[in-house]
Amino acid sequence: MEKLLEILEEIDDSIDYENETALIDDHLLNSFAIISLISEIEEEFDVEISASEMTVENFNSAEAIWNLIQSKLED
Amino acid sequence: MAYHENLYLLVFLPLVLIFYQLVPARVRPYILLFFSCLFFLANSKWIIIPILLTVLIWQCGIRMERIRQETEEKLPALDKAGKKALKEETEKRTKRILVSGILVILAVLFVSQYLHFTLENIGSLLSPLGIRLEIPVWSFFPIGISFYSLEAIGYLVDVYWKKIQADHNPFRLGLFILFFPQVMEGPIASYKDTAMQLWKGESLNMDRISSGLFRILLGLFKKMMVADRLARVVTCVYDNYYHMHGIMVILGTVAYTIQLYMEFSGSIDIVIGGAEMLGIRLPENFRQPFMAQNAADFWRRWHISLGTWFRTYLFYAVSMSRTVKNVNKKLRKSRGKYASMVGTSAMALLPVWLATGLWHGPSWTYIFYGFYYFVILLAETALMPFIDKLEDRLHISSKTPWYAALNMMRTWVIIFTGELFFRAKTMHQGLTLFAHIFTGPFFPKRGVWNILTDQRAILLEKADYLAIVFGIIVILIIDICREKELGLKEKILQGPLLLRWSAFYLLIAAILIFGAYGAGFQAVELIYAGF
Amino acid sequence: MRCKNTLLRIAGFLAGLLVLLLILNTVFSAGKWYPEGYIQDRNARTAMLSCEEPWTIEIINVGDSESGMDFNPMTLWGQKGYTALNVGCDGLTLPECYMVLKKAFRTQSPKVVLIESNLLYRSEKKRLAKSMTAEIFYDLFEGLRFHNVWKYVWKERGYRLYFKGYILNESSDPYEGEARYMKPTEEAEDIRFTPAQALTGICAMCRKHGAEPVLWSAPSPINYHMAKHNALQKLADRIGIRYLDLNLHVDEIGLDWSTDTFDKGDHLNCFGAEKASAWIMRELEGWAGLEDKREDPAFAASWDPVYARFLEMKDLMKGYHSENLPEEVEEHIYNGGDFREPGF
Repeated sequence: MEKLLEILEEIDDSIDYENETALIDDHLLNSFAIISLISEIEEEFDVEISASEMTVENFNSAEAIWNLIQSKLED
Repeated sequence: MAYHENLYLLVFLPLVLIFYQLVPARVRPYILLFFSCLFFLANSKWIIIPILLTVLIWQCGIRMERIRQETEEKLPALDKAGKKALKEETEKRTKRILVSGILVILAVLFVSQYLHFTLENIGSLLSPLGIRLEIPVWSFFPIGISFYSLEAIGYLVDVYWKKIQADHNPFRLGLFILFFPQVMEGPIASYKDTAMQLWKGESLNMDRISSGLFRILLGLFKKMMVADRLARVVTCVYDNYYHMHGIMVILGTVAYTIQLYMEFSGSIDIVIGGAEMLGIRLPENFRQPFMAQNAADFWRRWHISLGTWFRTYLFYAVSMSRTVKNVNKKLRKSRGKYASMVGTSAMALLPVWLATGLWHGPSWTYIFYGFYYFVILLAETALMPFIDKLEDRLHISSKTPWYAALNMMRTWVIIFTGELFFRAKTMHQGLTLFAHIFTGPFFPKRGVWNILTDQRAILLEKADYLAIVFGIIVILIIDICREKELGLKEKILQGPLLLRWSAFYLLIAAILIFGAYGAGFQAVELIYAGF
Repeated sequence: MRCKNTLLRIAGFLAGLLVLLLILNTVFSAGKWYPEGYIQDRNARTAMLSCEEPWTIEIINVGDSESGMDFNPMTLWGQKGYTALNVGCDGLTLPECYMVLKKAFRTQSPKVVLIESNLLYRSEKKRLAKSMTAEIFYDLFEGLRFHNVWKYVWKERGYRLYFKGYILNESSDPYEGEARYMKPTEEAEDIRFTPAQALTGICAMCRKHGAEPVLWSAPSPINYHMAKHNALQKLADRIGIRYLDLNLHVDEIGLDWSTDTFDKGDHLNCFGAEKASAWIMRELEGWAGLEDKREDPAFAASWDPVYARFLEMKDLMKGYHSENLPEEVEEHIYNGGDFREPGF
């Protein structure tokens, strides 16, 4: 989780990721940010995220993103 | 029968509401489907096209599901290698169905929208060689095809991505595709968000009806107070583009941008309001676009449903594809993060914006329009780190009022320039107008006001400009309240009866007295229904 | 209980709406604004109809610009003392025709209704449907028809010269094409089903109100030819009404295409209209039972001034279209201080 927060901070350090639950809904992260986020995650955790997982629910909060990574790692 | 016409608002919609309420809940979706077909037929005889599309996606969805079920049944009996092979095989087979489904939809779209354009361009390429291509003229335009084609593709991809289950009910899919309030010009909805609502058959409810009615009136206000009047100015400037002075070009372009916003968001208000009366929530399509801070922000506020569709099904699909990911990795290693970000953005943005441009229709001006936004958005992405640094150093942020205002106005210039070409019939027309801003005399000798009120040229009277300004101010106030999330509409609708009703009566009276209709006015056809 | 409440609320809201519309009817009434010169647009003749003295008109002529330009009620009054009125407007549609006659029958009982045939060719279904729904609402809530009066907050009143619905126009631009444009042919360019049905309905309504409908075609080489005549004759026979085609009687009427049209044979000017109107009048006289009202003091009091003004204007506007006057003539009309439409 900490690694993920680090990555997120690097993309935009003005957001309070631990409490924010509307990263996408409130347009805090735009699509470019998401793209760089995913490439960072894929490299860091060695998982592969596909286009079908690009949903609002999966990226609205740090926790949701973390859950996505976890489910990928379990596979 | 378009949405702004009295035949729709005063006859068709009330009839639907009455029938809908009178029949039992189980039958209601079929009533909607019946009236949707009727509405389609009143506008275009090509109803066979959406019906065929419905059958197509219905069958594709079921097939994909069946293949997966068969796999699930076989899986437990297999060893690990067998499981993997079977899974890959399943993936391949479902993908084949998906791709062929999408290809059929695109083929129909191509024939109805782009075939003529393509043939024409091939013809003009061949003509220097002495070959003359006889291009037959035909009319094949199932109304709204650009909108429900995207919805149909979205449905197929969602089934493929397992976001939704395949629908076994062809009537529900048919209603999703043909639902009358949105069939002509969107908003482009996703199956997940709308189909089940459509099938519920909930009873009408006064709150929703009055809220929907309010929305419809607002839409009519936008169209009849502002859009249909500005259309005259715009037509005059573009029809006489050769003789336009710089200031007239600018005025014409700004007028067109405002017209397009009032007209498109107004008709979407009527669409969403009509659906709301029936208890159906459609996705929003506009969010105060002229308060955007940059071009990317503008596209998150303008024609949102189209942007969302292209982001979900094209932008992410491209940027998450193996090729792009690999390029991204290589660039990152050799040139660093910044280069990889710009590189990926370019690769993902180009197809998205060319497609967005072309989606509006077969014309070089639309292709240019798409390419224009590709360049602007790429530049915005590429400059982002530098601007961030600069902002830090100057201790300003997007929250600094003067800086935000400056950004907003810069974005306006970007928007206006784009719309100048968007409205042009040919690239030649667009470029000529654009050049006139910088070359030749800027102010006409006759005076701008004299031209604007010339009865023979623009057909608007001084009083019409009064109505335009009044309309824009009202809408501006409403939009500011929305941006600040003051909940103006809710306050009115939940307020005491007297306040509520006077708001309705005021709006109706304003439209009836000051609206552009009757002698000397012909309602302008819905712009986006032509796409 | 809830249901009853809801219905009551809907009824209350609609009642309020009705009150609003009735208020608009009073605020934007033709009687208030037309005589003052505030209604100048396509609705002017409809507004004029509202202001006409009830039960005084013997002939109503309805149609699009062909009818409004080619038939002059002043000729009929001047020569024989018949009271005629032009209603209709440029680009009149069949639903508009139906509604304006319906309105006319509420206050007038004409003996003859002249229907110019050019409107039968305005048959696009979508347009007819739109026009029909609009007309139904305008008929109920006439204030909406004249709502554009508000624009005079920032506009000068006009003086468009209507003489019982005839717009004076003396300019001329000759027709130089084939003089014998009605070449004999057996062909008939059939009229579509919807307009034919609509005309049948309009004629039935006229007869119900004791008026004899007459179909007529204005002389116009631009708009008419023999195949059209054949179809119109067939249609008139089927409905059982008289049909006067002036295109077949150009010589008898005495039309001279080098002086009597102002737009190369599309419409007649004042001189052509005078001849055409006189010819139509002679055709009607035999059977319609028209009465000379010039000796009736009530009629003379209201029609003679209009006729006098017509002659005065005709003299003044030599060679001009009333909508395109040179400044000195315009000024003269203004300085006369008379913004009113003639007759009020």
